[in-house]
Amino acid sequence: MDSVFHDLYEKYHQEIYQFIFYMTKNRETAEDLVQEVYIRVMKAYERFEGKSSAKTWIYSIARNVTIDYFRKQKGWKDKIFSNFDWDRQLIIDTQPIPEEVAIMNDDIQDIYRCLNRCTTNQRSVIILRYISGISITETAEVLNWSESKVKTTQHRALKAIKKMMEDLSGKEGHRIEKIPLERKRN
Amino acid sequence: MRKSRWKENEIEDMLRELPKVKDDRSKAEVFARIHDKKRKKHWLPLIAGVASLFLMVVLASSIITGKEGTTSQEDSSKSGKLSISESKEMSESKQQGANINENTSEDKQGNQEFLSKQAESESKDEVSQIEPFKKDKEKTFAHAIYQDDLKNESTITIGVPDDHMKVIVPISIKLNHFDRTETLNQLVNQMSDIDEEQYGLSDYFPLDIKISQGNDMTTAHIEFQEDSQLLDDDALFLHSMEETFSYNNIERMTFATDGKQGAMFLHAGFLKEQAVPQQKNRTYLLYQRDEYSPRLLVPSNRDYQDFEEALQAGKGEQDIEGIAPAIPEDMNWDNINSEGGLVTIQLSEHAAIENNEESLQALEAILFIAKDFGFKKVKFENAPIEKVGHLNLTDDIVVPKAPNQVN
Repeated sequence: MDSVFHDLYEKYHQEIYQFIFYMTKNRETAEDLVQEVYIRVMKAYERFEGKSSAKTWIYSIARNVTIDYFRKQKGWKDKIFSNFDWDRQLIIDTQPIPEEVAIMNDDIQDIYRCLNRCTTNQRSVIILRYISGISITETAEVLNWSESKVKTTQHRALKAIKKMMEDLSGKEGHRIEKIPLERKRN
Repeated sequence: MRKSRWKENEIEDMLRELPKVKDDRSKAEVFARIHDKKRKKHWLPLIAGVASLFLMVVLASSIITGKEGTTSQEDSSKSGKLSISESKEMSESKQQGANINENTSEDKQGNQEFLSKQAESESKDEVSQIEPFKKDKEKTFAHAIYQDDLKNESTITIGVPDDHMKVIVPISIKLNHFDRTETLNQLVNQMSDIDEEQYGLSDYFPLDIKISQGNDMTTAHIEFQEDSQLLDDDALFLHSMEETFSYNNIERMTFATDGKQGAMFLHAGFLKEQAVPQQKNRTYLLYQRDEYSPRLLVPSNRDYQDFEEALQAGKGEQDIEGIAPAIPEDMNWDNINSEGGLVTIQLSEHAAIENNEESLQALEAILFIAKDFGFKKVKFENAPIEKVGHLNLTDDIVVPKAPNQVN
């Protein structure tokens, strides 16, 4: 088992962590979830049939772990905040911006914020295609979709982000500037 | 000052520029955390049990003896904010409970996990309460629309890709007025309004194209932008448009790109126009994404040599997720004859036909298969009952106008 872990860590750890981080936008959550990915992968490793590549298989587990996390979050948040008419988006928007993004120019920071406003499917495709840099075929394998669905979802996501970027420039004066900056832990 | 207009490729470039984000922990640290996590999982049920017992004791004693407990309950019914602080207190006391009962060497992570497990079981409870309600509420069956049903009304049908984009499912909307010159405008409006996902289909419309009337009433003119993604994903697009137009009295599509005649499709090549076949000799099957989505009739992707072969194929299993046979195995026929626009299906002695939704949808599938082979009417002979839903099996039945009415 240890050798499986070491192998996985060397090959995929940082990219899986990065995928989960961009999905959840929270370092602690990404750390927890990436551990869950290892546990699931190690449990199922012997059953891995090799129908898809190991990389897309691990990405698909990472995505499932993340979706499960969102479902749990939604469940208890809905329960606690059920009396409030709060836009759930607001809660997500106040996640700190990581240092890596905060040092980039304003447009890149806006793009980072816009990712939140895409649907979970759109965000998955955008992260896989542009941040992880995997192909349409591999993305289709990860999501268990047809390539057409990947292309269409990607196109829709780009359109949605484009519109949000344009909306943001219109509302420039009203933007919430004081989004906390994450302090990197030592 | 930020830009107010962006190009799609600029957005793509900026997405690629998003920085790499790294996990700062060492390999040994991650490995140790995984071990901890696996070990703690065994303790969780026990900890949870002890903690809930502790909570019950604390809560019961405060309700019986303390005045504060009562006040807090009253307040929480008046104000949502208080109920949050109460929840926080509850969480804290849960945390304390866990702390007391846990082995002192357990670190903070154990508590977090414990709380998230609690949240998980709470959310599961919630889901189990909601789902039966949702199931009752959903409409699971979509009827066909018949010309006789339409008085001053018209219909618009749109071919929408299924959830996996492997088949095109026609969805029909009844409109309260009739004006044939308006067909294409109505079509464009409905493409903007349709919420495909509620029917278990892909979010495909609206599309980045302009649709207008071509040289005559039966021609639709489609205009693309040069960088349109639809030109690359042309098989799905053309399939969807053919399905859509075939129900809306359009026989031909003409194409233009950025004002110039014709369009360069990645797979179909350069096309100035394309015919819209009205009959494709297909069978019909059932599509249903999941138990919360409606059951919809869907034409097959392939065609068949003759009507009987297509009917038989309507009983066949397909290797596509969500697709099932539309005609039950035990709905049999002995003979099929056709004369002009009428096809007669002589049913077997014990053909399983009942007055229920399954039989109605199977018969409607047969009517649409007949329509796809150019027949205008279908006669069922030897039917065990006279009526199935609104279909009168003792008469010739005129084939329906469009499948899957969703409004």
